[in-house]
Amino acid sequence: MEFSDNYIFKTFYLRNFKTISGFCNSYLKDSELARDVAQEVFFKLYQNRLQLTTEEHARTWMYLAAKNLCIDHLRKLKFRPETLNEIPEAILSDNYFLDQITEQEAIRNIQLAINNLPEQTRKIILLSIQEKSNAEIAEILNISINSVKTLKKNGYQKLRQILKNEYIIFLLTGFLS
Amino acid sequence: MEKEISTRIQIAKLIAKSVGGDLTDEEKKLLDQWLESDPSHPQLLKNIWQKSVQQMDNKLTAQQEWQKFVKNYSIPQKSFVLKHFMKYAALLCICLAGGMIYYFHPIKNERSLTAIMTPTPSQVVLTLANGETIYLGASQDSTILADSNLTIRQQQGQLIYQNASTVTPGQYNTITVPKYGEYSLQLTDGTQIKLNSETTLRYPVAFSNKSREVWLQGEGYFQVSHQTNAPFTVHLRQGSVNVLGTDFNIEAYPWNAAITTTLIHGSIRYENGQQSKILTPGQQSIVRDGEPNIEIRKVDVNIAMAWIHGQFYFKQETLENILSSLSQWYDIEFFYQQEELKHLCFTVETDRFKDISGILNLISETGRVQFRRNGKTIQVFH
Repeated sequence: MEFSDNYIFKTFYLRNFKTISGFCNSYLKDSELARDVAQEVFFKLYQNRLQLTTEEHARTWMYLAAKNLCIDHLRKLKFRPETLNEIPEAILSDNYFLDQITEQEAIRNIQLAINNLPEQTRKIILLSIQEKSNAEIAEILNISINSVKTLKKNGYQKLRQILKNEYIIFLLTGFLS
Repeated sequence: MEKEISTRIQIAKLIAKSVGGDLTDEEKKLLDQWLESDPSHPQLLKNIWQKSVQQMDNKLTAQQEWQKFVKNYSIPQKSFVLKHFMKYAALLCICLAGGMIYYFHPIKNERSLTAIMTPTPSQVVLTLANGETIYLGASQDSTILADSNLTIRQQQGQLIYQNASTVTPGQYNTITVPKYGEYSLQLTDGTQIKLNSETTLRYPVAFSNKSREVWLQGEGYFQVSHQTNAPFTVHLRQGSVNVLGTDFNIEAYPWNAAITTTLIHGSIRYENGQQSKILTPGQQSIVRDGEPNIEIRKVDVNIAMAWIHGQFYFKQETLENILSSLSQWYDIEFFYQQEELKHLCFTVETDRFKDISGILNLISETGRVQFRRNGKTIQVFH
């Protein structure tokens, strides 16, 4: 990945902003501040873009940078007299850090795949992930149960295709680690 | 820590993949192992399902944040040239029939950019099946080969192949286009190919009924005639492009570390042995050297098509990329006095067969950057 190409940097930003701000929010519990910190993370990434060779490398780098910035912010808040809250120990642990990464990455991958589906199919898959039955989905969307069945089947098939491409990447990075 | 992060990124991919219900036994085992490795993980998985759905409708648009980002951190984005272009457009441009715009600019700063560097091509070389080489002059019409089975003739700067139904298979011709040259040919199946400068194409003098295969190094624009039974394949240094009948551009120069294929009409499939992806019109595939992925992106096809109209067209492109294309074309080197100049973005449209000073003056008009020429090198500074 050549970040020297502004187009690619922008694409990367657009694809990952939500993930990074979501990650920051899990530390800061303040979505507005989380977005500001995410902007800071991307600016740091922008400044260091030439050293980061692959997308995964860049993402790993960002999570580390985001965590450090968030903890800095929490410390600043902690020493302000009006906030009496201590930073919970758990939040500073590596486990918490890794769990947040898992969560944000999984959400990003799931949403990327689902967003690639046609509108109606997308709605059906979303409802079915929430464990709604075919009948319930048919009622919510005001379509026949048979169309729900067909669209759902096609939707899952398409999802499998989209996610299969991800698998190839997974295999390769698996070999490298 | 990097390794642990990388593992989690992979676990996250497995979780996403399980939505499709399609994990292999091995993947299932990996995911289960992770779930059991900590009592909090099953709950984490539940949260992921919930949040994936809830945040789906979250209207936080990355696009808005990007605008803020560009503004707050002064990231070079605006196409500086375009502003000036618009200012002078009324006076200085003429619109041609095809709708393409040429921009003529008076040569200023004569002290800094004096000598004229105008591209002049040498001749196109055709190598016949028997190894004989023929130089093709652009202007004359001539018949290169005519026997009972095959005619090769040159007509209005285009090479045309025509065959009777019986041609011994396995005879190949090669055409080599020199720097600054361009050449068109029409193969026996009616397929039209326009080759860009510094390009080599190898092709059979006549195609078989079952398949049509050619080999390309460099850049070519293909208009493939439709034949359902005989797929047309362009072989490249990394993979191949397979089509039935369609228009597309392939850029596969050896000095560019990627092969870029842009589809104009119809449908094509890019295969590189590891992946196979289908492109729809307006999409571009990028295959980087040594990487298994085929990247697909949506593009402005006019950028890929510009050379066909004798143009350079850069849209919101960094100075670094613009000057690297110019340096390849005009055989000159650029030296940056300040590294950060490389990241300035410009939109430029200009005639590529004109002297280089035109485009450089156009860029320096913006006041963002200046050029000073010294022999075969040009200093870039501000």
